[in-house]
Amino acid sequence: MIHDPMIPFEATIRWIKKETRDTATYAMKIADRRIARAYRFQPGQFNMLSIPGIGEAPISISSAPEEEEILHTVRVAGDVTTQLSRLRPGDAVGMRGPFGTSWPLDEVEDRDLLIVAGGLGIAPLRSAIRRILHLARRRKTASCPTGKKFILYGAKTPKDILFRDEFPRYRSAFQVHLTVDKADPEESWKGEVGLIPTLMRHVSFNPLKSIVFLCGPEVMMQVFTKELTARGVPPEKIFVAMERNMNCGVGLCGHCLFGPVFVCKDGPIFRLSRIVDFWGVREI
Amino acid sequence: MRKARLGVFKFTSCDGCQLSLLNLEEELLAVVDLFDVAYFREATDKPLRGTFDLALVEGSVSTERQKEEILNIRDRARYLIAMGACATSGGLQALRNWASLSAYKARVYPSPENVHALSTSTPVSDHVYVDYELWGCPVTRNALSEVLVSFILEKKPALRGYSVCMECKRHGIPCLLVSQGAPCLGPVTRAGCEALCPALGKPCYGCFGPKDDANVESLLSRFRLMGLRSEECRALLDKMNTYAYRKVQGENRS
Amino acid sequence: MSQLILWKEDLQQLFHRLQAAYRVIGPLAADGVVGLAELENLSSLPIGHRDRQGPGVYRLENVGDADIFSFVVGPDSVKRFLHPPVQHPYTFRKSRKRLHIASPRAAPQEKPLAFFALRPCDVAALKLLDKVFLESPLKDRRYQAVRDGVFLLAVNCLHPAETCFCHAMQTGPEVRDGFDLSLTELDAGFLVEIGSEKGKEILNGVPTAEATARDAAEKAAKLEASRSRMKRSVPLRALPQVLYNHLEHPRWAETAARCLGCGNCTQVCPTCFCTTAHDHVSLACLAQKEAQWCGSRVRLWDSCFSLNFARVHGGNFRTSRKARYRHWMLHKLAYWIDQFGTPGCVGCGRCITWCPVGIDVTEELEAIAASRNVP
Repeated sequence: MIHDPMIPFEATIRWIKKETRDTATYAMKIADRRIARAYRFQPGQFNMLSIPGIGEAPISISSAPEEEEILHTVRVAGDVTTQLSRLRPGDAVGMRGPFGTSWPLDEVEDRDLLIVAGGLGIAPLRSAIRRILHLARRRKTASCPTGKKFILYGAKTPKDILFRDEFPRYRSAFQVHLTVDKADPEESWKGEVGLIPTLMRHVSFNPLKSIVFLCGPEVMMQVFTKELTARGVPPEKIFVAMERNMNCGVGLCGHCLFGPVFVCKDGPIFRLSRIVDFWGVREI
Repeated sequence: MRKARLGVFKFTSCDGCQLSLLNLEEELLAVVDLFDVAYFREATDKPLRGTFDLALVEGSVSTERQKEEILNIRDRARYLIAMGACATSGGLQALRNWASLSAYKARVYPSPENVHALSTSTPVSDHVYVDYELWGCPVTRNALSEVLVSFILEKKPALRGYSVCMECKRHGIPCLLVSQGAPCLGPVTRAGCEALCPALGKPCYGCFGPKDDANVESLLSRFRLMGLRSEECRALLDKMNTYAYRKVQGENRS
Repeated sequence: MSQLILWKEDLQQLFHRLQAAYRVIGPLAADGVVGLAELENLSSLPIGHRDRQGPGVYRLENVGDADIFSFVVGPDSVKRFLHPPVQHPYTFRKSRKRLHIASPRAAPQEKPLAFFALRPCDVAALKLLDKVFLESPLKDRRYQAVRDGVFLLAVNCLHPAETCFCHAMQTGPEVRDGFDLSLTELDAGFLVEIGSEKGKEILNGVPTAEATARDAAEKAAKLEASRSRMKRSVPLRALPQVLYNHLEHPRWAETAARCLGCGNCTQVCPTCFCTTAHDHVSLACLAQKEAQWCGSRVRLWDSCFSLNFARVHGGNFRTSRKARYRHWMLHKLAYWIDQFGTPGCVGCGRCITWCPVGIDVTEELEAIAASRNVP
């Protein structure tokens, strides 16, 4: 990293796309050419986005590394994300990154790949999905996963489904299954209603020869990983994305320590076997 | 853009926190730049009218009329901030909560029947919802500045909830309790003063009230082991934040 | 490496050699404790002082001891100098379309730091801080800037305090590595060991003599006596598992009833490194016309005992004091082992001495480890 990882650099918002009522995607461009050229990330990594004066928030990157702009899909939650939602194209923000671990695409090989997302959890997985689409298009068979590929995605209501317009494209390489917790009466939803595990009956894969990328609310991931391991998916091949209260983003401030791992530095993407003992321990 | 309307209100108090606001000096000009100071009896004579974006309330509620007034101010204010030990904890005058008001009145006033006071002095939060509390006797310029800036920037203010010990250690002040056996309230008291008293070699006497999740009971047990009698321990707590410390002590016991 | 004898009156010469090249930081008595500060001359050392330490108690007494180094560690450690309690990583000036971020430039080549009379526990602590700040893929560049070129003159501990347990943590009372020079105070002089080229070079021109077998024997005997004075033990081999096995032990709640949650243990700990950074904007900055606002990033020592430390938007991961005490102890004695292969505790005893209610981490660990066979 050529810049000091503790000090933000300037990024400019190129465009903003409203995804749902509380979530939008921000395309950003790093202002300094030298930093922009040296900036390399892997799907699953995050940036610390800042509005200096307000604060900083860890936001995963939702675009693939091959793409020209760096995308962040952000839901309004705290002070920083609220103020971010008021910005316009051309406005400047601070950025530090990329930080953290990534989805282990090189570990997929010929295994069956299940990409499982709940809610906003689709954002960091979108980066992996688009990378795989890119590899498939280029026929880079050496690095492109060759097994069966599934996307299982659950949102609260049909209106909360993110990247809905992109799913037809995803279907060129993936079997896509969607579900919602609650069908919205205003919209004629013909798909599944229920939690994500209900989608499993549509999926035929070899558990012992599979790999799972999982990102969503922690409770959902805890429930779902139990189901996966019960089916025989080895915990070494289940990868989950964790969230904690990061402050520095580089493992130097102690805030996101979760059991023996720093979520920012050793994660956010973990092999389940590394953290499973601490899941469910109250107030760990 | 319309400036935010700021109101500064006073209940039962010594006016010291309002003076802290006036003592912002060069920053006071910025306050006038950034806010429409629509009500501030200590500084202007504008009458109470309309609504407020931000109400800073000094003082405790200690009369029947004040119980009504605080409801009125809450109704007019988008954000209400309790400012100082009186407003956050009832103040020194809350000592009456543990005594007999009529006995006090009879002893102090020639015509006690003219004194219309409640038997208790209580913090603003006992009466209305309070958005943020600025502790301290008086509040610090830093905390006032932080809360006003945060209001303008629409972010949560960075207020300290941890102990005075944290500030002692940052400043490299040796612990008076451990190194001298002084009965210091620092370990149960909210930071914010930058360890003003310990820096001058005096133990903390709790101007900023109980810190987050304070363990008053355990500290007092320690003081008793050091030889303090129970009434001496109580006297340490019974100052401007007596009500808040005793409340926490009760929670520690339950 | 050969061992040398430095006569006590020649310590002054070694000090001057150091002072010529370094800013010398060492023990200095002030306000009733031995602190760490820049030493102007050798006579400012608290010679002849003893620190009487116990759980929640520290008293510094001038006992007129003949030894120069008869005190041990006070509340301060090298942490204050390498990882200062208040840092300002950058300032910012913001307008809608532009952002100007400036990080303060390194101060014009000040002398590097030399730590004088650093104790073995603190040498070990410094190695742990190095692991945290420098061996991470993304280093702390501010830490590195101060750390580079630091000289360590260690002094072995012959008068451990009652709260010391370096022997149990295997970091002392004799320093084993990571120093430039080490001294052991014998009756007549100091036995000097050279730990680096830098150490060897600083001795140039300082009169020394070849140490004899008798000197070595005196050193060994004094260190053995020091070891035997440390009564606390730590079940090192049972760590970290014994703690992982007892995450719901009733002892945690009992300790929480005594714990003040004040954070003193973490602030005096030479390896606790946690901080919180936030943006500071002043009213004057907000009211200026040429930008929307300006301000600075402030990074402060924080503590996992602060209630807000584990707070996130909409919740808090550790609301109970019980969980916060457990988190601290597990970080020191379990997580650190998983992360760095060694405990995060060096046995300096500061957390025991400076806990206002005298909670003793070794006693707490013992209580939990005692039930190691209970499922």
